[in-house]
Amino acid sequence: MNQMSYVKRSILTAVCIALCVVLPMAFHAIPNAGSIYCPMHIPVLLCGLIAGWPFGLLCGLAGPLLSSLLTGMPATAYLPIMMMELALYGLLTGLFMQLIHTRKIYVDLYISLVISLLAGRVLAGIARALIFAPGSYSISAWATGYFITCLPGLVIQLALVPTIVFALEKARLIPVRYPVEEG
Amino acid sequence: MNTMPSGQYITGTSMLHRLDARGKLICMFVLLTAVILTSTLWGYIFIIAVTAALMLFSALPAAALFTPLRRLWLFFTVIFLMNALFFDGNAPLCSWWIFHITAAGLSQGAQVVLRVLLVVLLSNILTCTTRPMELTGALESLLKPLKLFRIPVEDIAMILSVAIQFIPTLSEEADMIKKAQTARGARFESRRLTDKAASVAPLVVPIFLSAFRRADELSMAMEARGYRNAGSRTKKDRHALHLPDYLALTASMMICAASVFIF
Amino acid sequence: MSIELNHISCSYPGGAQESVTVFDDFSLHIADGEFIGIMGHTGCGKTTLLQLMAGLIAPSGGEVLINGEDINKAGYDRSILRRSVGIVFQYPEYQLFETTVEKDVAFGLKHSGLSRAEVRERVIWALTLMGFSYENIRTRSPLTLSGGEKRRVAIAGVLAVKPDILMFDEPIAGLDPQNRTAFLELAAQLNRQGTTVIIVSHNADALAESVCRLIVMDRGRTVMDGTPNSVFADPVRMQELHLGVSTPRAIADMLAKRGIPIAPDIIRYEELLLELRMNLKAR
Repeated sequence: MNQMSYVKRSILTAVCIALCVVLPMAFHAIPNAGSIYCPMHIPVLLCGLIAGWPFGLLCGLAGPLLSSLLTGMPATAYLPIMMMELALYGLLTGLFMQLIHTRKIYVDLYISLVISLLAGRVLAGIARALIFAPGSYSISAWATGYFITCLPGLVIQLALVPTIVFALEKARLIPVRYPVEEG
Repeated sequence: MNTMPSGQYITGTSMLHRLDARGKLICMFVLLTAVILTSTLWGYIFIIAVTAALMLFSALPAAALFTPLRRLWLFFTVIFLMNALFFDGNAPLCSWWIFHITAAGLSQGAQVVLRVLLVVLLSNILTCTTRPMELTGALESLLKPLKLFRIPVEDIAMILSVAIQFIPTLSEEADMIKKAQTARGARFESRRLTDKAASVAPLVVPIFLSAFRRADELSMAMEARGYRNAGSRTKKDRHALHLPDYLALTASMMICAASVFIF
Repeated sequence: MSIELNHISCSYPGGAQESVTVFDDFSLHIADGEFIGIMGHTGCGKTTLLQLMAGLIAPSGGEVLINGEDINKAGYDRSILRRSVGIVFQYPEYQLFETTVEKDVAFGLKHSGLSRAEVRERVIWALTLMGFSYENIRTRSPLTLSGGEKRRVAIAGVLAVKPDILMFDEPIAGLDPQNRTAFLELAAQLNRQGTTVIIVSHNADALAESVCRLIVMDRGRTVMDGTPNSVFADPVRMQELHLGVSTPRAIADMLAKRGIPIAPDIIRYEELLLELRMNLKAR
């Protein structure tokens, strides 16, 4: 997926940032969608996977910021942590996609996603504990709690994100990662 | 149909509405610093007074400022209890099992709640008196010094402005796709965790396909017209700051200094 | 199935701006088995009307009755509505998402309670109707098809549900002449089989060729309603509404202006040809 031009990556990133604002609005009517699906995570993960780490990082920072400015969600109090968590996702997925080449796109995608999602959640959990409960009894308890509440979202993202990547490859909207595999 | 979300902005002509967005953004950061650095009772009272004065100046309906707080009450309760019950202090007022209520813990809990409350109120004042577009413009121009660290600020600005332009189109498209799939009998809810991903696929996959299709078209058009990257382009000069903007900046810095050094 | 809209009012919330009223006390009755065309200037409320009839948006006042039942009433079973009303949006190809054509066409039948064999039968029927060979296309990814094929697959997905009422929003925009004719024939065929068909279009020629009743809308009101012949008989009024009449009608008007006597209700090429032949004979 490295044959994309700088301009194309930039515009893809712009579109993913816009989707960070649009997707949560589209999910609005589905009950509990925000907490279960984390709709804002999907464009950031995709941006990292497809456009590379600098763009993923930018998407993770700008997506929640713009959404908070335009729609009021996430609330300002959660914004810094959300930006940090999403920036990590964008950064890590991009880095791992660059590092891991197993000749099987499934494997690459799943490894990058699993590592980034786990790392991002652990760090965000710790950050949450540090910022919101300074001096509180147990940081690890907070981090674990946050981690566990986010697990269902993780499962859904693991199922959904590769589906979208394959659809985009099929529609020839992004370059195929291992062209030989096709057919 | 204009589906651009307008955020929390409320049209008005108050003094705060008229200030330059860049100035307001800096003032906000300075005041937030003051909120975070203060630790004495008088310091808090001082900042509460400043926030109240700003609310008056903004001439905003109180509901607009306080409604967002209602969503946070659970969050406030949890932080307060976490700090009150688990704070590792000496001389607990009373102890039960693993819970120790200490004076220090109570005051810590109250302080955290008060800080978050002030942060939310101050940022509400900013977002209610400033158009989202002006705010993003202001952010963009305040990020310029990052160029020193070889960060391509102009490219980032281009990406952000393209992103903003895409929002109304993409949200209309997302709405259409949602309606089309609903009409075909899609149900976006499912009880089982494994089905949940499958039940939103009819919504999410087409939204990404059509968004990426647009990205593809636009980037091809840009490359066809010889666009490389922003590097050399010059942006239209923004308006300079005026006297009221400088006054506001000075005032907020003095408030910050006062809350840190005097109280 | 019949559709009845009684005293509908509807407006879009405009966010910070004031809301936009699309309908205010709007009524429309469509009988079972009608073939209807809807024309109107952009922003006149055509698409909103379709979405109201499909139950995708709820009116702020008034009622929408499908087969006599209020679809927005609490307790109404929406799955009946989904089975009886099919809607093809302007770019139906954008709703494709499944990994194979077969799965995508069958998507609407997921909750229908049909057996696997019945679903397969429906898919074969719909794909054949849209001019595909089921065996050749079933395992292909809908995303790798050409633009025209994608659109036909998407329409097949709506047809597979066998709705009693079918609505099309600008179905002919962007179609080549061959596909256009094929589409109009399909719509007529479905209508002959008893389906109520509603087509929203700017294309006066296509509507003149196909529909039995033409409704012209302007700013949320019905301004003309009748056979296409009677509606197009008033080209001045149509022009006031920024709409065109069908090409044969326009040609007939030009001929009439040059003193060639010609009937005012001619809207199709065949009628025009017939009339001209009669004129020649009369000379």
